[in-house]
Amino acid sequence: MFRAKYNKMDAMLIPLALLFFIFFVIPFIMLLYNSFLTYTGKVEPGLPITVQNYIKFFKDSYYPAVIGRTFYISIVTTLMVTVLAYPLAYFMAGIKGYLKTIMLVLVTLPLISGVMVQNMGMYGMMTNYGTINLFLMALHIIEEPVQLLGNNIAVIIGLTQGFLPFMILPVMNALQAIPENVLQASESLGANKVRQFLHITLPMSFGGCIAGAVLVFGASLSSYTTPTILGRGKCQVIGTVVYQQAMQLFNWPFASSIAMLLLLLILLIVPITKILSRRRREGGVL
Amino acid sequence: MLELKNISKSYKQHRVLDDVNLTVNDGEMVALLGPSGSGKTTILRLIAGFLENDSGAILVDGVDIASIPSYKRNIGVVFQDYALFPHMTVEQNVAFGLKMHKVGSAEIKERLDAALRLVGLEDYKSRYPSQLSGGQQQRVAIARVVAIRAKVMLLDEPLSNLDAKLRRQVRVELRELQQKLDITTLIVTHDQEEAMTMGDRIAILNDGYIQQIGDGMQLYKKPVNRFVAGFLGTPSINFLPLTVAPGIARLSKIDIGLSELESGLGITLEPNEYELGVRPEDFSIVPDSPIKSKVKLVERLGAETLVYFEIDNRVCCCRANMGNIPTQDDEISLSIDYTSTPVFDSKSGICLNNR
Amino acid sequence: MKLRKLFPKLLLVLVAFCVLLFLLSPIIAVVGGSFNDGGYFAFPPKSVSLRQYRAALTNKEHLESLAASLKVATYSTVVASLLCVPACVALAKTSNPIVNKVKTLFMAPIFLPGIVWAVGLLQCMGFLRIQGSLAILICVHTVIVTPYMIRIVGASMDNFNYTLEDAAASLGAPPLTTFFRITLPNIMSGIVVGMVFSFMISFSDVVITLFVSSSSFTTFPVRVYAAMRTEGLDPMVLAYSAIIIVVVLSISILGEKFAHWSKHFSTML
Repeated sequence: MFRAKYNKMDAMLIPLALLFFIFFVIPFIMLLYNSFLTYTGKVEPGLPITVQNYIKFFKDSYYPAVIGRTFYISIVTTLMVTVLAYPLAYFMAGIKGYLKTIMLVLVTLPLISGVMVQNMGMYGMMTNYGTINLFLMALHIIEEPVQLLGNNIAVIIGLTQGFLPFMILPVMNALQAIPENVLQASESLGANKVRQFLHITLPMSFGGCIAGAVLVFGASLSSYTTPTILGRGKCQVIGTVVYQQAMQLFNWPFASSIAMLLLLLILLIVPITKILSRRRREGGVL
Repeated sequence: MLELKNISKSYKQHRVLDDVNLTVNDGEMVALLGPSGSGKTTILRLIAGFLENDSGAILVDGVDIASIPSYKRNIGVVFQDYALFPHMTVEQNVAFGLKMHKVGSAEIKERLDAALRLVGLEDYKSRYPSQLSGGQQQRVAIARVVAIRAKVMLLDEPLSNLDAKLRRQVRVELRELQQKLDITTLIVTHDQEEAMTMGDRIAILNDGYIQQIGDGMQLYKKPVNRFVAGFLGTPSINFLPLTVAPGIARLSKIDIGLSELESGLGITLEPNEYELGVRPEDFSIVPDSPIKSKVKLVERLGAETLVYFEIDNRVCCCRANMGNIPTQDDEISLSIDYTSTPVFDSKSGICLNNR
Repeated sequence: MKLRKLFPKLLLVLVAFCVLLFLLSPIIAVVGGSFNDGGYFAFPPKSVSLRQYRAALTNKEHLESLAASLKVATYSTVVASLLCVPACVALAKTSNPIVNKVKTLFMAPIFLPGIVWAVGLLQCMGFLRIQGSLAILICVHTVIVTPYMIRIVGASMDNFNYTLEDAAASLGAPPLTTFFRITLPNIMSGIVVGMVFSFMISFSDVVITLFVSSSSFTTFPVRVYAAMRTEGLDPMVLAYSAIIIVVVLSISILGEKFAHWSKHFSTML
């Protein structure tokens, strides 16, 4: 009787599972199928089934360059985010009360006010007569406005700003999870502050860094809006190429195959980080 | 009256309860005592209807309730963590059961007030559980059961979340309350002192079997097996190996008189291996006796003094008479009062002289 | 001596402040720039006026897309909570290992790249010759917000003391009554936080909506995005964004104060 009751409970998952099947699972199946179809010149792709789309991607020197650029941007972004987020997270882990509440609200604010607002502000500041150029000219570092938008650096800066909270929160949590008495123990054993930081705090917050880095790296690889807005069409990454092929050239099979490759890349990150963090736990050097 | 008849319960392959039989008479309080993992909480959950028994019957006033869902059983439960509804005031907590039983609002008020008066919490009506002490929370939990006029009350380790001093006080209060209410009660506990002081009778549970049922002194004096003897009593009973050969009895390799032993125990012993259970108070320190040892440790506890010594590499404990207390490293001789010692078959652990 | 001890701390505060400033710079620029009197972006503003706000509040097209965004966010949040709360109850109580695999599926929209999913959706809709409409967007956004809902509501289910359900049953409450009178009130704060989150996530989504919406039905962020991509930054949009930021900020302050929701955020990341 009780087992039957639980099975009845499981049925409450059906509506949501159905919604996911139709609007989430089927699109991925469609994507996989279409990536093997042939571009017909019309919107509807057609037969025969072919692997040409994948071959095209690697044959043409343009697309590997896009992958290279995407990786370059993602790696630099991840490193920048880590370096910038750590001190702020360290500061936040050490405070309490109202100050902490305010800091938490401010740090999560960019995350919940949306990527559009972030891009808009960044774009505005980086235009020829935007905040940054005016500031630099006022200091007489430059005399003429400098072209800031439309290159990899602008995109990296935009992504770094947008993804900072992804790193700050997990690192802060990891730092807070270090028990006070571990630090006291290390102090009683004669470790000075610097050694304590290098040998206790840093290794014990490593998990948080990895968690944050996975999020940031994955999100950077598949980023689309920021490269479009801040790259001004001059910074093609995987995301923008997918959009171009799907929405502007209507070459759906090719767009699908690029999307599949991106998906594959993202799915590869997870096991790699698992190996990394396991080695760390077992005391191996990175 | 609550009756459990041939109750069995398994989780996957593991048998948790095996053929449990237990009766709690009207107005009686029975303590279900056992070590953790013995299945006592499972029994409670079966009676309350949170679990279903594989076989057997659960009878309340002669009616089998095993197939009735828990919310129709009218069995009150006081949970270990009290399980008060945190989003409701004391008043709402107590009234909840009444509303569920579709009691009219005038009567709700009456029964609510009566229940709260009984547990002495009339002035705490509008407090939330988080604003109450552990003892007060427990009284709310009891008031909740009292208000619905449950036929049976189940208490799940009710004192384990209270500190040691409060526990003694609440123990007495709880017992008085139960007697005043005259409610059929089963209390689950792992604390023998709690069981001894609160239960009219005690059922000892181990490995899913009820080992013995009886009042506290009966269990203490006449355990049916080695487990019950070892489980009850602090300091615990001393088990000494006993070898009987024709005409000879050897207790821990020391020759003692067989006839003296047999007349004390009141049975004749076939040549075999046995174990003798000696309570600390059944030892006495005497000027001369074949059982000799050296004092290892003396514990002075105020009202009594415990003396620890070794017999054949087994640490034993005895309660010393006030006048005759040895000190550490003293050589002592001991005598045993065989008239009150149980003797066990060394293989089955069953008590042989349980009269 | 004292200076030597104080210096690292001061340095940390300084660095932390600079990072925070960088993090918040776009928001500061948007809010500050929205008060500029002129047809272009300027922060700090050249001269202050409410011109952008006046223009914003009379622009029919933008207001329409804003209304569409609010509709989509509201409906998808409501639908998501109606689907996710029962799902979370089932997930919390199930003894079926296959069901736990379904949970991974529900979390997938967070981890899998949105643009990949969006291309798949686009092709499904093309295949079926469906145009983006309110109904389609609601369904898609429900999927987008589900992982957040499942995480947050699931976390409050984990914190719920299930003995309370047994207690309610022993006091005579049938299962459904127990759920509505005991379980639901105790997980309500989680549901509310989840709903607010879901609303914001849905409201600010660009990538997936961009692929799914049509010229006849689109949301505010997508319209702004499309305009910015081709024409650059229209300062009137700053006024809308500033309003959104202020609303979001007030909700986060309330959320942080009453529901400690940065904790929910951290569990999600």
